[in-house]
Amino acid sequence: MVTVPLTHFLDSHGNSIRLGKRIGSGGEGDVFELLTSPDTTVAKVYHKPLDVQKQEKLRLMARGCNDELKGISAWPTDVLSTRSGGPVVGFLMPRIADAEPIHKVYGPTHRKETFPHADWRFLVRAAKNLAAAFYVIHKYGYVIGDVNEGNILVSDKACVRLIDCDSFQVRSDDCLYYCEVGVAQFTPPELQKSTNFRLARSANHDNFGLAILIFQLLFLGRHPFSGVYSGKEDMPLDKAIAEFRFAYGRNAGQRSMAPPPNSVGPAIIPGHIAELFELAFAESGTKNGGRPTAGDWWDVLDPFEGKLRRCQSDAVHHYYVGLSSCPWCRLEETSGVLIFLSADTITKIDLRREWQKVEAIHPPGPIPVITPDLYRLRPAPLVPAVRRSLAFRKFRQVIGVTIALSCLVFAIIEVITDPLEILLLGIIAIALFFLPGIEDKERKQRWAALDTAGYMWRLWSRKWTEEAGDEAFLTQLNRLKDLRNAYEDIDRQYRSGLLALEGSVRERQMNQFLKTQPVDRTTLPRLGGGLLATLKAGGIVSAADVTPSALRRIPRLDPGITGELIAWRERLEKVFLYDPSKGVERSEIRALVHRFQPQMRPVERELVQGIARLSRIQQDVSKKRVMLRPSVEKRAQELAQAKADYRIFESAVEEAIRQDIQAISKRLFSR
Amino acid sequence: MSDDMYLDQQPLGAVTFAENPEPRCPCLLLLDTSGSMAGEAIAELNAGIKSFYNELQGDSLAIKRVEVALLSFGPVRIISDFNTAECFFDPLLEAEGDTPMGEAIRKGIELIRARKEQYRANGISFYRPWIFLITDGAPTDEWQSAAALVREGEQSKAFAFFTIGVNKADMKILKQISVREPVKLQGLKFREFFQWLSNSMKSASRSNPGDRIQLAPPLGWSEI
Repeated sequence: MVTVPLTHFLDSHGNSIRLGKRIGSGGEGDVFELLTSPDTTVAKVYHKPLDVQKQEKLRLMARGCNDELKGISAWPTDVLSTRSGGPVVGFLMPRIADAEPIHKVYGPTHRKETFPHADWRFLVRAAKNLAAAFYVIHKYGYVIGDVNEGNILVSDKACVRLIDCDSFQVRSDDCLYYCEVGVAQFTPPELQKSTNFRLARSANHDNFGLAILIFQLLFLGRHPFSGVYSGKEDMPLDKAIAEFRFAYGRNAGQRSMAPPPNSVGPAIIPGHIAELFELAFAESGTKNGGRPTAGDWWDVLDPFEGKLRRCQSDAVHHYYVGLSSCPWCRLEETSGVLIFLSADTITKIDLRREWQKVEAIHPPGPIPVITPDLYRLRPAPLVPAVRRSLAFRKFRQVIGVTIALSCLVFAIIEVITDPLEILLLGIIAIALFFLPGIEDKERKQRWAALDTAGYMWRLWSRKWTEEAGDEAFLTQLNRLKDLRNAYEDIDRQYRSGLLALEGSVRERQMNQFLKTQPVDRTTLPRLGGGLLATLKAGGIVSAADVTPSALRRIPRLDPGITGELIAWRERLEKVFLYDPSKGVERSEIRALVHRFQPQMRPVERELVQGIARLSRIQQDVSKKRVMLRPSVEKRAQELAQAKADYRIFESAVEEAIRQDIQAISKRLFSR
Repeated sequence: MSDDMYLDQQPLGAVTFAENPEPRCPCLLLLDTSGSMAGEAIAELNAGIKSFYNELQGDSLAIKRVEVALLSFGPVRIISDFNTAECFFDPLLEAEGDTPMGEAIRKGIELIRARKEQYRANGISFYRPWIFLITDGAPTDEWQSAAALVREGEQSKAFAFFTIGVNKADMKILKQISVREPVKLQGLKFREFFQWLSNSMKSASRSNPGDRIQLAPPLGWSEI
């Protein structure tokens, strides 16, 4: 038993294999990088000791490994053990990076997120590559068995890779190593009834799953057996498969099936390819070899790629040339769903351009006001009996109030003095006022509706203001503005540093140039030999030395000469040609870069990510506004309706009581 | 106005199905939000629901397949109708009122029926719906007819109905409502429960869209 996770194993040749970090974990085992070749090879190590059968299966697979298998799958390349000659505890396989499960390719929502550039050509190519991968597996006599949406990966170049290969069915001369798992959605009808998968499976079984996946790739994730069923009972997928209810098939009608609304099917592909689906999903397919093979699919899909046309009205739509019009335009129109996205380009970090992106993000603007007050609704009418009961109650209440008031008045003017009488009259008044009539049931119902509507409105309006408001957007926009300023600031510092460097280099070059201009070469008429000697004695040999301060140090120098010398130097400076190529030393620039790059990087990164975030917030807010709006409006309207419905009772009971209490208290206070 | 709004809403359902035709795995939560749940219990329940949603949203298949509806009772309110994890509505529930469990069950079963109709009309396959009733008390209304509906639904495999008792829940009545043995929640381990539920939903959404039910044993949160 392995209790401590080991990192040191032996391959079948006794070579030492050291594991690096863990990159995946599953029910059966963990997957690790190799320390020596982390990018190309990984190791799967099982949690539990393997039975002899499984060990032998892995050895067989590793022995059978070749470049073709390695090219299309995470095929076991060698087995691992903990000691020489010990049991197999894991295996090595090629690393498959940058690929996503196939369900993220055929499902439109995920495809648009994960493969935004993928158009229908991509999907057709993925289908063809899928057939190619199955072809290789079958060619060497293996069976995948557990075909499913999670263990087939697709790269952003539409290349297909199979993973979880250790579950494949492997055949040796004298033994069959089963694939003991499966997913109903991809399991052929003849195996739907089996309670376990301890049975011999064939390529023909795999070919059912292959046809399902090709169907899903070509037709936007629709499962061929998921359709509108006209029978009364539930029609789960496994049952539909077992009963050959291919919803798009020639005989779908006879099997009470129809394609779902807003779907595309075999009608958008050539008849001979559609025919392959018929064969794959029909009863005749259950016979061994009855279904189209991976090779058959490849043979039709490969030439089909050349028969696609770009849509005139939307360049991202591609469809079969044999159709008279673009099926995607039609589907987008009827369903209101954007099926393919236009390709997006990745740009280099360029502040101006980045900021254009920010400006292109349309601010969501202030949150649309939704309140119950927006709705002027007529209350639901009362049935006549309730209306009468309510009217009578109002009448009773008036009487009750009158009795109460007169009782009070009589008590005040001392016509009635017996407290019992007052009590009796009071009780009568209260009874008249409060005793409910048949309208009370209606009132309670409306009150409950109002209560619920108020509660729901509270929940939804809170969510609305929290999620559909533009506060997060504005906060993020301000953050981006700060970042832009910070970025510009650093950029300015960097450039002025660069300028300073260049300036000093220019100065140095100029200085060198001026040094090559000796004072004796001046053509100044007043500069004679004696004066020249004086200058030289004062250290002024070339034009480079001619500076006002140096000249000042020369005793008794004619200011006119000084002026002429300075003018001479200035003339030379003007003819000087700066050679930027011989400019700044690389090391000096590097120092500058080293100083500013670390400052810019995080700002740059945050800026770019922040723009993406801003866009996400914007999309999220608009999405939330669209998504939540009907619900919020519905709640607002429901509350408005409930309020309107209750108003009639409110004015009758509540208002009256309130007025009475006010009147009584006023009277009491005035006394 | 109101008529237009509903006309606009109808195709929306079908549109989502066109974009995401994956088989659906519906799950209905019937949550007791009666007054006795006030305080820590409701706070834990809310936290549990939130983590439940987060878990499902983190799983690329479950996010497309699992649909959750919330119905709270005390009084009975549809907090959110069936939605995939992409657009879950996770409100902060408030505790109030009594425990009209019977009405909640009847309404919940009706929600399931209506959703299944939509699946059927749009050619979307679905797994057998799960209903979880979570309560800390006993029904304050007529519940026998609801129990009959539960039995009927279980028998026709229209759904699977589970009951979870919290604190002083009347386990005897729960036993009469549900065909399946009620489970008692350990303390207020709502989070553990929802963790278990999301794991179960995730694995169910990968299995066969049929009538088989695969639930892991309720470990870590129940009093078994």
